[in-house]
Amino acid sequence: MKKYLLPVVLLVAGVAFLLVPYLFSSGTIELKIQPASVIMPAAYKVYANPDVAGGRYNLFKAIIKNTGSSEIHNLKVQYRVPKYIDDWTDVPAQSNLLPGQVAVVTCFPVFNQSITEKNTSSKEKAEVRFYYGGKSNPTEQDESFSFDMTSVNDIVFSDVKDQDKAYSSDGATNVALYACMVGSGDPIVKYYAQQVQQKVLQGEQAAAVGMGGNVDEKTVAEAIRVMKGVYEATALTKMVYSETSAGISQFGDVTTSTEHIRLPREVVTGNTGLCIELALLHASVLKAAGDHAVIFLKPGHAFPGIKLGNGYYALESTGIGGAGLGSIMTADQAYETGMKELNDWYASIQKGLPGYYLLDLEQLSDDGYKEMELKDDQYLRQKVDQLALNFQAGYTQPQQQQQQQQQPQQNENEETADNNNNNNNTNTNNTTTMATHSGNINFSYPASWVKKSRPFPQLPILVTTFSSPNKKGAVEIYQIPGATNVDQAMNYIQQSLTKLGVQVRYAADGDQNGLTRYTGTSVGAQGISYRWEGFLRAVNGGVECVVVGGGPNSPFTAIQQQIMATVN
Amino acid sequence: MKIAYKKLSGSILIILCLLVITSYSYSQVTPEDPTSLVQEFTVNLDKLGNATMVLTQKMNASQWTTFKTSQVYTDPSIAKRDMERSMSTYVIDDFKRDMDEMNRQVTLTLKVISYAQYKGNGQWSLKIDSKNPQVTKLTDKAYMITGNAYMGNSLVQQIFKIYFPGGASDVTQTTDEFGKAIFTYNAGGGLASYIKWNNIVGIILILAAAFLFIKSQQQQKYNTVRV
Repeated sequence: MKKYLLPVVLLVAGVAFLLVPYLFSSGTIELKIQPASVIMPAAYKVYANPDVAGGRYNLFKAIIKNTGSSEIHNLKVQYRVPKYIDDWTDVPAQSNLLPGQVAVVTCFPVFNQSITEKNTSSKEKAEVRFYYGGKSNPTEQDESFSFDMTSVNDIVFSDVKDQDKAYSSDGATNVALYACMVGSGDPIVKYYAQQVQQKVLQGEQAAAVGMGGNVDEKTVAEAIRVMKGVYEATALTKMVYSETSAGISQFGDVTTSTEHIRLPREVVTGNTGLCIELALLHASVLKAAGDHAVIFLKPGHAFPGIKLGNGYYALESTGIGGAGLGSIMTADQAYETGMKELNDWYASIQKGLPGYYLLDLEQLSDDGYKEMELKDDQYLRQKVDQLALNFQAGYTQPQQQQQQQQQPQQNENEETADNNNNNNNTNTNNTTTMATHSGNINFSYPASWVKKSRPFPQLPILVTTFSSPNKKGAVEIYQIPGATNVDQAMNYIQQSLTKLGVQVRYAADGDQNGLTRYTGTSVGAQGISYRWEGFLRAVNGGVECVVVGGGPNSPFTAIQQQIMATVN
Repeated sequence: MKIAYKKLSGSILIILCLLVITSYSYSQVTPEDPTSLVQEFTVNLDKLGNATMVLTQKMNASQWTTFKTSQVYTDPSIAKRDMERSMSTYVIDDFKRDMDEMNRQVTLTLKVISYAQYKGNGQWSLKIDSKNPQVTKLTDKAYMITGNAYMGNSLVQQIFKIYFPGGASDVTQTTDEFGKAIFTYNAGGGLASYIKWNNIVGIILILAAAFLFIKSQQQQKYNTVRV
């Protein structure tokens, strides 16, 4: 048997040489992850689509290099985002890597529709898992990174790193994402559009576009009538223009401007909007009505329009007036102004001026910039019903609008309203122009009130104040992250104010619109007492509180009571 | 499976097709003569699925004048940045730009990492994001795709040549359910991938073992006969 010993040894050694790399080596990978710095829930459908914008809206890009001497088998990449995508989810990736080969794996996260319910910004974490190797020698490598997730209302305008910014257009690389905030499929906006069609437009005539994009005069006239009708609807409900919050934020290596956009349903039910918000509402209703809606953007402004054949038509949606905008335009005036703006827009484009964009919503939708899906809401439908009562009058006559134009400005209105209350003298002809705050807790407030963000650095839980120019009233928004219930939050506010020398007393005062209500008084160092009403609601990761405060040593005015009635 | 052609050609068009004001413009731009705008893309794939691309465009005097106002001419680093952003699912390396002022020709060279996908066992795949493209077989390892693309009001004729790796075989072209072209080929894997030192030594040892075994068997047979 000794003579077989050497062949057997050689055989075993030979087989070992063949198998050792497979048994004891699974290759080695060098890994580099390029994570997203921010995710915008409004664009959740964009993030899921690798074909949008060359794939730059992704959660992360992993560059995997096989630095070993043997081929890597069964490569698998998975990810999850706790609270949003709880299950480990596969990222399409090639399963084999030759020695020296590089694979680029990009993750396009598929968020659930429920992400559109996110109404606060937060820091989130993504976890990534890499598997490779055979059953006998599997290798697993876990990685993670954090990123910012905004609220559904926020748009982050740029994703260009600071070091790469060169042109003004680099600050607006995400404007196409406005298309995700259009609400032509939103049940509330559709319901509103239906009301406008029935009660303001009283039906529509079918439009016809001929070969080569030619349209006849009748079709153009009908399309313009519809566009004016949408404007008319906003004027009939006395919708007003109002500012919204905007700022500069830092997301990783990107410093960018951001804006809090009230969605079209919120503009309808809040009855107020900024230019882009009004443009989005108009575009939503026009699109829901089957028109080819567009939005024209220029530096500092936006206005809606339609594309008909090869032509564009525009309307100035902020003609409804509001703080700082002056008189109210008729629908004809809004159209004339819009067309003039459109001509200026063309001229600016021809000159090559920066900051001018056309958002062709149909084209953007085809390119993957899909609208978010929102749930139906009976409460909001009821609000639409209430607003639609104003439609019964039909088109506003120019004479009536002239009268509206002659009404005093809102500052005077507010003073009049306050005086009326003090004198117990009601005058229904004088009304205060109200703006709407939309957030975790919504409310209306006089448009002339001054808004400040983080007014007291020593009180970081006080995030926003709206104060009357005459200092007779204010609304304050507190956010208490980490509070698990409203009682705990109220107690925390009391303690925080006590540290600043303000004595706070409060008592529960029932519920209002799903909010827990407290009534209380605050006494400052000078012994001046302020009465207030607080409205609290648990939100994602904490509690938010809106406090409507009265003037020093005085009861609530009619305006303050009006604000309280709108808190929801 | 990643998609290549459209993203790449689109981004190249953005920076190369400088005669065109982008789609945001609605000015009365006179359409260019389609035959005067020709772009050539030459793609050489290596054995690891990476591609070296050479993109050339020759222009007339008018086009060259417009080109001189473009980012590719004035600031190629921005052109590279924009290309990286529009091809986010790739890694771009070795970006170079060569200008031939006398002949009014610009050439861009870049390397795209992980352009083709390895499926294992020497099988590779390359998907072309152009619906129903006109594909012409040049050789067993070279194909040409031609097409036109609109940029603003200008029509650009594109010629896209793909050269598969030297060791590639069985190059075939099919289409997916969306009518997009897919190339599959063999290279770098299979038997060729087993030619490594450990495999060579292992096979030599096994052959030696077999030889010694047979020799021992024959020796035993010879001894038995002699007895």
